[in-house]
Parts: sequence; C-alpha cells; structure tokens
Amino acid sequence: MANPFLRRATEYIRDDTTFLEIVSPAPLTTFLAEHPRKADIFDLPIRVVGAPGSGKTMLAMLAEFRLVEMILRDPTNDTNKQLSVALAGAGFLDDGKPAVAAVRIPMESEYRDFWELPYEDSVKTKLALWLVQARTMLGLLRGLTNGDHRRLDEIRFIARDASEAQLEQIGGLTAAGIRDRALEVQRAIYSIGASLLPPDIDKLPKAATDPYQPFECIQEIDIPWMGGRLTIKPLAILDDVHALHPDQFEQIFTALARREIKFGRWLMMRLDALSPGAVFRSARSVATHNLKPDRDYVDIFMQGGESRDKERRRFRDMAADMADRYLPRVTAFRNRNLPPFRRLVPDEPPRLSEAKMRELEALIDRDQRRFDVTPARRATIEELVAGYLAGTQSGDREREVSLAMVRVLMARYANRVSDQQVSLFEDFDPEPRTPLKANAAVAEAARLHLQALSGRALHYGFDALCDASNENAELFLQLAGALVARMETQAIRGRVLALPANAQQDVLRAKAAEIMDGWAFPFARHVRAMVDGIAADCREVSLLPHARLGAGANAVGVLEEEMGKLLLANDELALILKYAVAHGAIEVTRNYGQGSKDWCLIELSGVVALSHGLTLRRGGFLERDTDYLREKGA
Amino acid sequence: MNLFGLRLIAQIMNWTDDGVATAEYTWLSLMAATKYDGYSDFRAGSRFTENFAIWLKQFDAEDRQTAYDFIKRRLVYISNAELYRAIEAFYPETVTPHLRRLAAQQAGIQPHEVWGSGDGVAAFKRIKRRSLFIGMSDGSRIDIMRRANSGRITQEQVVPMMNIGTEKWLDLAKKIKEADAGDTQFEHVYLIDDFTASGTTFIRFKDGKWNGKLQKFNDMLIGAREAVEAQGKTFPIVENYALHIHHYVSTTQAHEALLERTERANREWSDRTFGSIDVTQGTLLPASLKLTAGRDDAVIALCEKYYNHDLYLRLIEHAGEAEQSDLKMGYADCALPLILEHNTPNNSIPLLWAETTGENGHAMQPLFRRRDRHG
Repeated sequence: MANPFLRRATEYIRDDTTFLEIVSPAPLTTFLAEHPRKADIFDLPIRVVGAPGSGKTMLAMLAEFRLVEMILRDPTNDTNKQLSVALAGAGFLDDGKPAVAAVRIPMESEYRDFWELPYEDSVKTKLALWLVQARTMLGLLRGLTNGDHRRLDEIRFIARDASEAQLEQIGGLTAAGIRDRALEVQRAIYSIGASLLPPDIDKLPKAATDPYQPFECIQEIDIPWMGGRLTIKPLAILDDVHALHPDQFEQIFTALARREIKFGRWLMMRLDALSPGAVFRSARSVATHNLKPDRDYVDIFMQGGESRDKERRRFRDMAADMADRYLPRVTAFRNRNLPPFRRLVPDEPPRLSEAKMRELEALIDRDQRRFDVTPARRATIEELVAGYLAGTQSGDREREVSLAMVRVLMARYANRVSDQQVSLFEDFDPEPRTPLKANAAVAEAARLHLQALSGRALHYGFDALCDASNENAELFLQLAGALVARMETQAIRGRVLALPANAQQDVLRAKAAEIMDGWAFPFARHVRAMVDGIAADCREVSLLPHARLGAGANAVGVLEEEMGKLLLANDELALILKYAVAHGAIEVTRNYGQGSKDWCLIELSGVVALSHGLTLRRGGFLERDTDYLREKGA
Repeated sequence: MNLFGLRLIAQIMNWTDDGVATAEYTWLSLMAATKYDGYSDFRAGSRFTENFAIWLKQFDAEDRQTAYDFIKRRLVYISNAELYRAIEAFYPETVTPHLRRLAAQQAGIQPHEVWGSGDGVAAFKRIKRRSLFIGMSDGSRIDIMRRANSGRITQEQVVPMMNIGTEKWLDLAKKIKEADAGDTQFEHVYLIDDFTASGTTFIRFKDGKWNGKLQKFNDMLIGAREAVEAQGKTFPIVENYALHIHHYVSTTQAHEALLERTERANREWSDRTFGSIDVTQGTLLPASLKLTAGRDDAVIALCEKYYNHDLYLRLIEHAGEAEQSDLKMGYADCALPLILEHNTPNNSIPLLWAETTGENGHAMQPLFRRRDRHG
C-alpha cells in the first residue's frame, strides 16, 4: 500500500486482519458510547446519518459479529484491546463477551430494482424487505459459524413471546431450518428481480409470497461461547439505504419501525436521502409517516449532532488515532522510527523573511499616515498589542503578527474617531469613545491579513487540518494523505519528515482546490458557484483593514423565518442547499441568535475555507437573504 | 519505493520545488509499480527508476525536461497483461464474427440468427473445424492463444511456427479427418503475429522483387503441397484458401501498408496459393501515435541531436530494406514512442533503445534495452 491515506473506502479492504489493523475505534465511542439514547440502540430502529466518508461503513463493519469474535479471541493484541474497550462502551460487549450479533447488509445491490417491478407498492416493498431479511439471516449464520468456532446445530434462535404463528414461516428455531428457509426465500425473490421479464403477479413463486418475517419473530440467539452458552441480540445493519428509491425507503423504514420487532435494525444512510428540511434539522420536517424521532426511532448524526467545540475536540482525537495507524503503512516510512502524525504537521508559526518584514513595516508606516494616527497613538496601540501578546497562550506571537495587529487597531481607531471634530491648532489625537482592545480575534484577523499582505501561512498544524476536515474522516484522510505525500518527498530527499507551515498550507490549499474541482453530485455546479461567491464576499470583508468581524467571516446568515419558509417550499435553492450540506460544501447552524435576531448560518466547509484563504474559526458571518443565495448559486 | 532512484531523478531534473517533486514522485512510483518495472530486460536493482535516472543524465541539462516530458506524456507501454487481453480477444472478436458471417451465408440466414438455427450452428462448427491458426514468430504467443481458446479450437488446428515440415503436414491431414470424416482440408488459414509497425517485415516490394514473411509462407506452402502430393496424399489445405493476417497490435501505418501491399500481391502474384486475403488486428494504434513535426518538434530535435549513425551501420542490411539512409526516427521512419513489455520495437525512436559508443555520434544508454535480432 503506497499511501494508505489515499485508499480509504473500507469495502476495498478484503482482509479482516488488515481492516482491524487500520480501523479506529473512535467512531464507536464518539457516536454511540455517549449517545443519549444508547440504551435503545438495539431496540428501536436507528438511522445512522452521515456525509460520504464520515465512517458509516467502517462502523458497520467493525460491529459485525465475525470481527467482534476475531477481536475477542485474541485479547493479547494491543489493537484488539482498544477495539474491545470501544465495543464494550458502545454496548456490543457485556462483561467481555459479545452481547450483539450484528450483520451488515449492503443495500447498494439489486434492492432498488425491485421498485421498478410492475407490482403494487406494497408487494414491491415486501419482496425487498423479505429479501433483506433472508440475507440477514444467512449473513448472521455465516458470521456465527465463521472460523469453525461453532457448528450450525449448536446455534438456537429464541422467539419473541406470542410469535408461535410466525415460527413456521421462518423455518422454525433451529439454525438449519432458518438457513434452509432463508435460502429458499432468497432464491425465489432473486429469481423475480433478476429475470429478464418480471413474472405476472399471480405467477410469483410461492416461496416469495408466503409470509416471511424473521425480524418480527426472533428476539435473541443462543450460542456456545468459550465452553459455556451465551444469549445475544441480533442486529441487522442495512448499509447505504440511500441507494433505495425514496418512496421505497419510506415504506421499508415504516415496516421496520413496527414496535413489536425485537430484532435490532440500523439504517446507515447519507444525508442525501433526507429532505432538505431534515438535512437542515427542522423539527417539523423530520417526522415521517406518523413516526416521531426519539419516540419511534432514533437518529444518530455522524456530524453536527452535539456541541460543536466538543465535537471538534473529539474528532481531533479520532483523526490522530487514525493517522497514527495509517502512517507506519506508508512504504517510504518503513524502517523509520515514526513520531505521532501530529508532530509531523507542527503548529510552529511561520517566519517572514527579512525582506518581507521590511516591506510589511513600510506598509504599516504608510497605513499609519493614511489613517492619520499620531506617533503617540501608535505607541499606545503598540503597547496594547504587546500587553496582549505577552499574556496570550497562543504559540504564534511573532513580530509580524504584532505589526499586523497594530495595523488593524490603527484602522479601528481611525473609524472610531472619524466623526469627531478636527482641531486646527493642535495634534488631532482624541480618545475613541469605545476603547480599543487587543484580543484573540484581532490576532487572528492579523494572521489572516498577513496571509494576504505577505503570503504568510494561515492554515497549518494538526488542529487546523482537523478543523478543515469538518469532522469527516474521509476528508481528513484525503487532506492528510496529501501532506503524507509531501512527507514522502521529504523522506526521499533525506530531510526530516515534519513539514514547515508554508509547505503545509501549500499542500492543503492545492488539495482543497482539487477536492472542490472533483465535486460531482446533483447541483454540484450551482453549489460550487454559490460557495465561491460567498467565499469571495467573506474574504473581501475579512480583509477590511479594521477587521470588523474579528477573525473574519466564513459564513452568511439568513433570517430563520425566511429559511424556514424556503425549506418548506418546493424551491430548487432548497435542493442546492441540501446537496451542499450532504456533500460537505457547507454546514448549517440553526437558530443562531445575534442582534436580537434569529439566524440560520450557512457556513462554508473547511475545504472551501482552505481553498479561499478564509478563517476556520466559526462565528463570523455576513447578513444576507435567500435571494443572495439564489443569485450566487445561479 | 525506490527512494534512492527517486532522489537521483530529482537531482538530475533539478526539482527544487517540493510540490513539483511530490507530484512527480507519485507519478513515477505509480507507473514503475504498475507498468514499467515489468519490462523484461530489467533486473532486480536495475528497474525503471534506476534506468530512467541514468537515461536522463546522459542528456544535456537543457534537454532533460523534454526527455522527461516525452516519457511522461507520449510514451505508450503495452504490458504483458494488456497484450494478453488482445490475444484473448482475438478469437471472440475477430474469428467468431467472421465465421458467423460465413455460416450465415451458407445457411441462408442473417448473422444474428446463426445461434438460433440448427443449420447455422452446424455451418459455423464446420467452418471453424476447417480453420488453421499459424504463429509467425515467438511474439505470436500461440501458447496463450491456445489456452485462451481451449474448448473452441483443437490442438490440431494450431501450429506454433511457420516452418512446417512434410511430416507435420501429413499429420495435420490425418488429424482433420479424425475430427470429422467429412473434413479433409482446411479452408481458412490465420497467420498470427504480435505486432506490426510498418508492415515491411510481413510484405515488401523492393528492387522488383517481393519479399517478407508472406512471400516465405507462400513459397513454403507451394513446396509442401508438392512434397505431400508427390507421396500420393492430399495436402491439408485447399487450393485458393482464405488467408487471414492478424496482428494483436498494429499501427495505422502498417495496417494501411498491409492492405495496399496484400491487395497488390493478390493481383500480381501468379503463384499465390490463397484465394482471398484480409488483414485484421486486435488493437489499432492511431496515426497520431507517430511523432510528427509541429507537435513533437522538441523530441524530434533530441532524436537528431543524440543520434549515432553506428546504429544504421550496424543494422544497414535490415534498414536498407526499408529504403532509409539513417535511423533517427527508427526503422521505416515509423517514429513510434512505443514499448512492448517483452521487447522494444526497432520502429520506436532510437532515443529509447539505442545503445552506442561515442563513435559516429552521441554515446547513448537505452532506457528500455532492445534485444535485437538484426544485429
């Protein structure tokens, strides 16, 4: 594997051992172990929703019984120890033994085709649903008998109370009976879906039309485990259900949400499958078919579901863990004693060359004259800045930052005294009505200005890399992969692997542009135009000398009332926004209160911010309306 | 990953920009691993990266970027895996459609109806049994062709080389009858070779005389027929059989030349043994593959600058057949940027394969060393 960072999709990893070596247990902890509805995740239907690359399939594969058993059978392995702790935290283990038998059913195959058959919706839904159930039962049995750890006749299924009538239709409670019936159902239904011409409804094979509902009937499974018996709960993980037709998905989801079902069922899906309202988390639009979130089902969002600062911190841990697992697998780094990935992308600030520093000083002097700031006032401002920098925890306290902060404050000073009367007889140096303040926002604005004025790197360091990834594992690996490719160059050239700030920024910016150029999803052209337009406006405002938005803007705000109407309307802009969110071009923050108004913030994603040289700090936004979005996305 | 080789290339190419170096390392590593390292003449410790470094270094510093860009953007390398695909496709994509058309004619139906008609299927099988496949050189990879078509073509329908003795002809006559008593002779003969760039090796007319593999095959067949019939036996190929010439890979120049020359031979050869002749290929390389003035001036200039006339002197007999006065653009002036994994054609530009000392021109080291039959 030349650069494993660049080969992410877990489906491509065929070998379980390799998968376990590189899989990070962090998503289990991040999204499941501390979920407020953790107690219900094996009882209620669960929709695990995430953008492409957020780690849904990795999570599903890791939870499969086959891998859980492989992990538990070799507890001496350090990787397995970490994974088993995470599995236990998410409820997959109980007292060091499996508590759940999960099986992942990819939904990308022929299920969608059943919706094209010339039958009634209810018939088409049943065919797909029964095929899913048959394959789940076969997958379960394959997982339970994997590695010859137990025989088929040692597995017993336990039925739900009052399900006697349904036992016969699923082949009884013996594993062999259940397997034979599942095979029969699978064969019959597959023959319908795969036939060149669909049979007439009255000629459907009996095995495909007889009742078959193992999910409603089976409650637990009794298996031999390390010399004893163990009762575990079955769980079907339907992966990539967004591949279904939307109506088909609704019907299957409704069927799976029946309360009497004791079989665990998770639906892993992309945001695309949801309505714009649901993507924007409008409470009114999430309810579906009389099903209510949290009562009838639980949504687990793999991004943006909790406090964003907390989420960012958690993602950094997860990303560091993943990167440290991938790094030793890079061919060029073999036989090297590698430090943690974090140390290879240090946040040591860049330094301007002497020549650039002289240019900057000259510019500040010119601006001092332009803003009519007296030497005494400049000295006061410089003291203010020096005082802030002396007390700050930030590692970036270089002289150029101090100079750029002085420039921002001089511009602010000029603004604040602009309405005061100029005296003809003395130096005009009044105190501003609102005193000037040097703080972190001004420092961040200074760094942004330095990027524009002197080409000084703005985006570097592990935290910036994580923040630019918008808590998306795949995006992180893509960006990190580009940095690793540059580290390979360092290795080839016989240099230290750690990348200086400027190199990091060059790589990240080029990769971000490449990612954006590669966008290929519905409305991608409109989304690109919209984010480019917003980014250009944000940058213009961010670079105003007085930096009125502090660290700078990377978002626009639309009044909640207006956004609410848009999301409920049949408007193409709503779809553009939905796909922009679903594919990581923007993020949305609802009900953001500022200036006694309620805003919906459309925040540019980290990749867009990288590409356009905007701050990754959140909060700075331009007040706009939906017409503005429509115009930019045209 | 060959760190040392890559570092060397970076020094030779003077890649001071890390971004450029990273992009090029990625490309070099990918191409070496997936293609170029497989070249049959490379050995452990001296594969693509090392040879590429040595090759680049022999150019003057100002010419290196042109040489590098040529390899990156113009070189076409046909790997064994790719050639095998062309071999495997020969029967289903060339032979079957042709035989199906003939079977349809015989059965009085449309070609697409052949598999649905008993008469069509029987005709197809009969024509197939009466087809003989002959390899023209080692490159025809008859072993691969035979394995790929196991169950379709019998052992007795395949002859791995052109020089067939009388005994073999008698054996073929015996075997075709054994397969079906009604069959006594082959009606279709496929002559198979791996690659043609100019068509000259296959058929050429020079100094009022025809020459080439086709001429040799025709002469051989006349002699063999006489020898077999002298023994009172039936020669296993009918008079005026249908001749099919197939190359797995052909340039457009060769394809056009073969069409033109075989048509002329068909008209002019009084002693031709075949009744009809057609020319096919698995992969037709486009005419744009050839280096041309205007588009490839920089590389053509390198071909001039680093040419060593020793090459021509060494290969004069062979090159003379193509009526050339130098070999700057390769045999028959084909000017190809082409490498086959098992060898480099002499029709490719010598810049790629020339191995010369400093006499009569520039001393050159090859990037893809050529195993030369002609000297």
